[in-house]
Amino acid sequence: MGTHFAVCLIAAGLSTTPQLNAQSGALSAEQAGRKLYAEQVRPLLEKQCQSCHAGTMRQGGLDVTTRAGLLQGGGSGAAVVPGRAQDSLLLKLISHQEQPHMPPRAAKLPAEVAALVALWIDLGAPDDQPVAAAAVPADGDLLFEKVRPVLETKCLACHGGKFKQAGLDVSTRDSLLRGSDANKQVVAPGNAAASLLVKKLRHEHEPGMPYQSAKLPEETIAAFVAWVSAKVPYTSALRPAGATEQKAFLHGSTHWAYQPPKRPAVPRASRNAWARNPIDRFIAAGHSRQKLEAMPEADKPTLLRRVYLDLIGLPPTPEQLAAFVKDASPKAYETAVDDLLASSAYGERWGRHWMDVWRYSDWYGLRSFGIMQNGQRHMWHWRDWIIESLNTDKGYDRMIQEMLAGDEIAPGDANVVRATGFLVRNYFRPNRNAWLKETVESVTSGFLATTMKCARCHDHKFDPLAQDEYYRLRAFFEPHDVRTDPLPGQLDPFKGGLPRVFDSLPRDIDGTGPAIYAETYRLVGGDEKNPDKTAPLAPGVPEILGQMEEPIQPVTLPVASYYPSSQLHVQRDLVEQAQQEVVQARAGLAEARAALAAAEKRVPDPRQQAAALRAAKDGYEKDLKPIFDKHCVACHGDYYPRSEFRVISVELLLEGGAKDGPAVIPGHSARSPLIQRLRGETEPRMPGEAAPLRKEEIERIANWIDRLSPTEPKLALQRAQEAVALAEKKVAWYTANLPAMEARVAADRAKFAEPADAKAADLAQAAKDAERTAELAKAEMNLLDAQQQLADAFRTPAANEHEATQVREKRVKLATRQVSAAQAALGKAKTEYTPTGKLYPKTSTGRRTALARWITRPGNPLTARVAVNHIWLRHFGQPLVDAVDDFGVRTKPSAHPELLDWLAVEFMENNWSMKHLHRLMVTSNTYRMRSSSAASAGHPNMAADAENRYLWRMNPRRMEAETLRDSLLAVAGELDRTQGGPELDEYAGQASRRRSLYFTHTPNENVQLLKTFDQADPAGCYRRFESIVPQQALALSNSELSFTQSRLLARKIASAAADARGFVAEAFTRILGRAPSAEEQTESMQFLHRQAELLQGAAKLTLFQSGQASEVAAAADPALRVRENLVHVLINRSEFVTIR
Amino acid sequence: MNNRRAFLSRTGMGVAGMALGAMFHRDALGADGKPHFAPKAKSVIWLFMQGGASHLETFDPKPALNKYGGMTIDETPYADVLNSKYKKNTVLFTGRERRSSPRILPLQTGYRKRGQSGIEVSDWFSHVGDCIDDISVIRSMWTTDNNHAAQTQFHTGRHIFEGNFPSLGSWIHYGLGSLNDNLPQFVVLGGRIMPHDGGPAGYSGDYLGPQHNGILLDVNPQNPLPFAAPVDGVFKEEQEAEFRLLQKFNRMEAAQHPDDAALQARIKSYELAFRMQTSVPELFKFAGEGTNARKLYGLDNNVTRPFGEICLTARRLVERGVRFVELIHGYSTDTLGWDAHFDIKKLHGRTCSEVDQPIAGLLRDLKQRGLLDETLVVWGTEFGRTPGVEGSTLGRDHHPTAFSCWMAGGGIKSGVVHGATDELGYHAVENRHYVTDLHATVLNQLGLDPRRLSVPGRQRIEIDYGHKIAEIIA
Repeated sequence: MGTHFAVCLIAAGLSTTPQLNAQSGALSAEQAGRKLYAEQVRPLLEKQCQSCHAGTMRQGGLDVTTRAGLLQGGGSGAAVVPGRAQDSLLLKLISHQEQPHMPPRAAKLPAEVAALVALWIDLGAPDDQPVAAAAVPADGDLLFEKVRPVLETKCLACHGGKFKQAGLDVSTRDSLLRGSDANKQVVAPGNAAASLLVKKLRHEHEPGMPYQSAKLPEETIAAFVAWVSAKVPYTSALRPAGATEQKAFLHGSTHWAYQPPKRPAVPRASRNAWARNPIDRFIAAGHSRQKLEAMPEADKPTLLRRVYLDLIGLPPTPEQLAAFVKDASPKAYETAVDDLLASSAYGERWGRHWMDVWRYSDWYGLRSFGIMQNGQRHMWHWRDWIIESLNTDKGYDRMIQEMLAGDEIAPGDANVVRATGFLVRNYFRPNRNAWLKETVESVTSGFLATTMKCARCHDHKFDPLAQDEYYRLRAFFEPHDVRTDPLPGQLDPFKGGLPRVFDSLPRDIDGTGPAIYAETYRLVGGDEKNPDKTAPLAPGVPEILGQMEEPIQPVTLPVASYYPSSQLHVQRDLVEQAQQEVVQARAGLAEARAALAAAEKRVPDPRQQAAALRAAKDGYEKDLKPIFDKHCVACHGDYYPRSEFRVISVELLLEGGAKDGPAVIPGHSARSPLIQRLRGETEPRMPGEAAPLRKEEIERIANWIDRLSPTEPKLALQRAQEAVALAEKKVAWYTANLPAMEARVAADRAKFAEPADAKAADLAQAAKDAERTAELAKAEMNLLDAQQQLADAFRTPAANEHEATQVREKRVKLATRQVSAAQAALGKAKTEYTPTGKLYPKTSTGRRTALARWITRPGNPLTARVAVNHIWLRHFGQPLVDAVDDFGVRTKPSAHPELLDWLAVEFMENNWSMKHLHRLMVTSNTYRMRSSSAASAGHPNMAADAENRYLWRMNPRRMEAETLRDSLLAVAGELDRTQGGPELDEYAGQASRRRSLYFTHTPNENVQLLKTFDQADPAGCYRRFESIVPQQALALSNSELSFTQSRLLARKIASAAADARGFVAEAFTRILGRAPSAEEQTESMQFLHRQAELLQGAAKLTLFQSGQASEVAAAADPALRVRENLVHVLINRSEFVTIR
Repeated sequence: MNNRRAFLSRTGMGVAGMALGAMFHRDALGADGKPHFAPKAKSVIWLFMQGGASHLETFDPKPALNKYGGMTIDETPYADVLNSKYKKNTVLFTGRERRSSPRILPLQTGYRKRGQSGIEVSDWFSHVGDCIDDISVIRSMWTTDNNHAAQTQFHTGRHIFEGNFPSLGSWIHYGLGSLNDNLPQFVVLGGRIMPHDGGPAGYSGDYLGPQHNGILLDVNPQNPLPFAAPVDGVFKEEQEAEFRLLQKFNRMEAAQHPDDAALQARIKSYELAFRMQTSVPELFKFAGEGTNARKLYGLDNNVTRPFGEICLTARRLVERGVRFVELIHGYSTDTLGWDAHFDIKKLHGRTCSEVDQPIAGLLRDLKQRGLLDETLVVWGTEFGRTPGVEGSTLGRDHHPTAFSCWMAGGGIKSGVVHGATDELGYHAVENRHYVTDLHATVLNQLGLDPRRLSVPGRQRIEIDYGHKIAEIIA
């Protein structure tokens, strides 16, 4: 009875089954089931399933033609459990609850069809007659048997199963007939001549098949022709196991990088005395195999300078050096290493390395328009997280988890959430697909050294990565979006805030950012205009790298995370801001009243004003115009001015921009947006794409503004009166707004309290009322403002005819619109109070957490190896695996594969501690060896291994850009060690004394000096270039920085060491970390002497005229000036920039 | 790459293409710094009209636009252009189609047959038109980006979404090295590519290394490139003496480390830097050029002077053996440059008048001096402009499916038109050329085979090589 009832109930809702619907009342459960089978289920099985699961095919061992076959099922167990639809695999697969989705590579069956199948199963899955067998030509078996081995061995590896190159899958007749991405018809059953497949086999169509192989024998091709002519019968399943070694290659199952690392035995080195730790034993084993002799340990000053620059990016001070040289204890070096690793400068040095790998960039794109195209403002929070995490030796696994999913694993902790800057950095405003492309690429290249990007358009050509796998990986990131959360004391997201990611609900392109799609689709050929909508792809990881161990679990977020405005500090700041606004409004009123009083006095003497206007015009022509012509006219000139703001006349300058309002506030330069932007106090800084104006230029403009006064006394009076009226309204609005804000905050608190606050409804009501009162006050203010604007537009004298018509019309139109908007607001009722901030989804999908866990699980073959390789590269000047960002099958194996694996396991087993690895590496004897030296030139090692692949000596390196600049400041004693905080203006790179990693760094904005020395490309830099070009020589010898620092250092040394000899010795020690040789001493003394003579006759010398000033001018005293010259020479020495 | 090779490949006196750098670089990569076959040209002057110059108002006259002006494309007999298979080539920068510009805008300027060849050139290019008998016009260019990152694509051959790649100038620098040790070999003058359009990627060596980057020079003898001179108050003799001591110290260090190639290279780099301090500013001292040059390049007219100076500098550079000179026009004017979204008559009228005389002057000057035979001059832009009017403003929108370029000198045919667009100028339909075909042609004239330009571990694909345009090669 119950079943019967269910039949009626369900069937009644199904428009697809009218007959059943009409008659069901009279049927028993079994009768209904049989009827359902005959009319719905059997046709479905015949159409959708039997091409693979019938007759001799029986994919997965399943036969759908009979009830018995379905009950018996295949390799995965019963397909149908009678009476229990929800437990039946058939239903789970066709409704896409489980993988593999059925039918494969086709759209999901409509829900009502699945519901019918479910109903049929629940009714006991009765059948009447078996499913009809597929029609196969009589000799089909024979024909297919001839082509089958070829399909299996030559085609299937690339066109079947996981890989479907060009979108073609030959594994079943159906899939073959579906064709490829580009050609819907690869075979025309019955028409061999028209079949692309045949043309490919005949090499008549590029590329010929099998790919990059010789043509198949003619008789084989003839067999294919016969088979296609017989309408392409498939009579038994293809056996993928029969594929050739090409498949093994494609699947990369044997490639070293895809095997989880196991700890190898540490070799017993023949020279145990040399080996200090296991690293040395591996290296020593290589030495004995290659018959190489290890170089002796570097001398103490060289070693100390090396390890200082390496670990903290700064050279040792003369005092540190002297103490180390004097320290005879056997652990002197180890102690120094421990001190360096404990120094907070370590995080800055290595933070910069990881910023390279993780593509750190400050926001960029359209800075001159103030529009974020790439990244978000305040990316520095992520940079500081990197530095702090390294300094506290946070596990690398935890770091990855926080960067990918900090918002899910510690949603309430801003210190963790800021790590997601790693993902925020990829934000790309115009295009979501491009944004996610960068995201997938930075994750796979940075953490996994896998060139997943190749699989965006097609299956990877070399590595076992399928195109579907690319999009499954992308699916982990599909829901994520970026936002900026308020931080204590800062409500303005332009000025400050925490850029972070969160999982968003799907959205269309909304004007503020790109779409967030609901589903992930494979983009056919990587073309975003062509998503394969037949099969949405769920998150999944590349098969070759091992499965995910844990399922994806959604994360419930705390209130503070989904409603940032509920945080106490935000609420406090909101109320405080409202209070401040009242104070400011009152001050504004007082000011307006004072201005009114002044204006009243001025009215009697209009002549004074006329004179002032003339003065302003003269000043403009003389002082301002040349500056504007040089810097501003390009964007704010006659044609199509940006923000519709023009600087080409006094009138237009005062008029301001139609988009941003006034740029100049007469008499108040500090409050004028023009000056604020020129000074870089507000964004966008001006000029947008070029260096800032010189200070004196800005001052000249500011002075001019300060001297300005309103032009017409009568008009000024009128305006002053209006200003008072408006200021009064403003006070009224802000005074009403304060209690409204307090009420809204109280209502918010009650609403989001746990447990729920009983007073929430009352408080919401109170907030609504208070807000309504405030809104009325605001609307009144706006109305008055708009009315005044309108009046002003009519009475303002226009600069010329053109202005009169165009500009005024525009202003009138704008003001009229504002008046009606304000009037409309007055009349609008209110149903609910406005929450104080934005509400985000209450759960996060957990996808990114799952991915991060998978990346950092010990069984991941790549993560630890890749990190170890990066660290090794930066200590030894060469990596263990050359291609640091591609561990794919084409990459040459390491010369030291066991060492790589040993280090990877050691890393993971020591909680992924980087400091542990640093300590192991830099205390090894391998690290302490001498770099190239006179002894090595004719050494047999040079013949055996000139490239030092087996590390028989240390590699000398050039300092990276940042280390070079920081070291220069450090030796001069000028380095400012302040850590962290907002990025510094890139144009301050010469004058600022802060460490180099704190400057604005984007693909467009850089410190020129750093860029010249091969600074990282933020678009991707896994390994720095080390170029040697003349621009570097120019930068180091001619930059303001090098002159200023040389002069300051020379003066410091000179004040301590009075005689020239002492000066030379001290200069060498400070700059190069060693005393001068006798020859150098002599040369230096001679230089000081001769140069002094030269400068005595300064009148005869030729001056450079570059127009570049320096902060510290050359000393007037020739004796000091020549010492400055010597210091300047020493900082240019190759030795200074080289880490030996 | 292993350590030594890695080092060698990264060492190169990019700016001056110094012999030592070239030597290292050949050793490392097998490029021998010599052409692959006999070259026809020694240098290239690459004129880039930034923003998208309308093919319809420059070198590709379409009378049908006048005939059907005001109608929508659907209403003309050529409605099928909207369904052309070529449309699918376009990759949408923002993921969205641009607003369509269906209503036809008539030609905004006249055309005249010019020269012996009688090739039609617009009245906005009358000076260049007078040189048309030295020029091969290509009317059938196409690209894929429908936004201004096509500027980068025009130089690297790839859509920006595929990433950054070495630019054409960098490949030439990489393949051929230097003719002059005192000057940069790949120079960029005039504007620059804006950040959101790819920025420096348009003249970067990318994976070839920063030593192959284009060097941006300003027409400013005092400060032509960053750090070109010391701060004020330094004496030349003082610097010279410092320099001598520095090199003495460096050589002492080199004696201690005879196998340190980096040190050798650094010593050389200081020598070059020192010489460049003089040779680069000299480029911009036009005093000795005489009145003929002033007239030719329009230096006495404020409209033509800025680009005139740039063109003159280009001639001075190729005269001194510089390989690749890229001149960008469009960035630092108070207009939209060539990006005429509205009032194309006014905007293009102006940009054309800024470049027409200087470019013609450059061609004539090169010819007079016998340099045109060995100098390949290329005029190009990132894309064309729509046959339809954009909005209600009498402008034309971006149009990647058809645009015009031209070449002159350097073994290129004279007075030839190659390729064609359809009646509306909507699609290139005859002898279609993607931007890398232009690259292949340039490389061919310099004696380089694009397929032989490669770096181990960096896969190049078919589209990167392009096909030389044989029909315009003399």
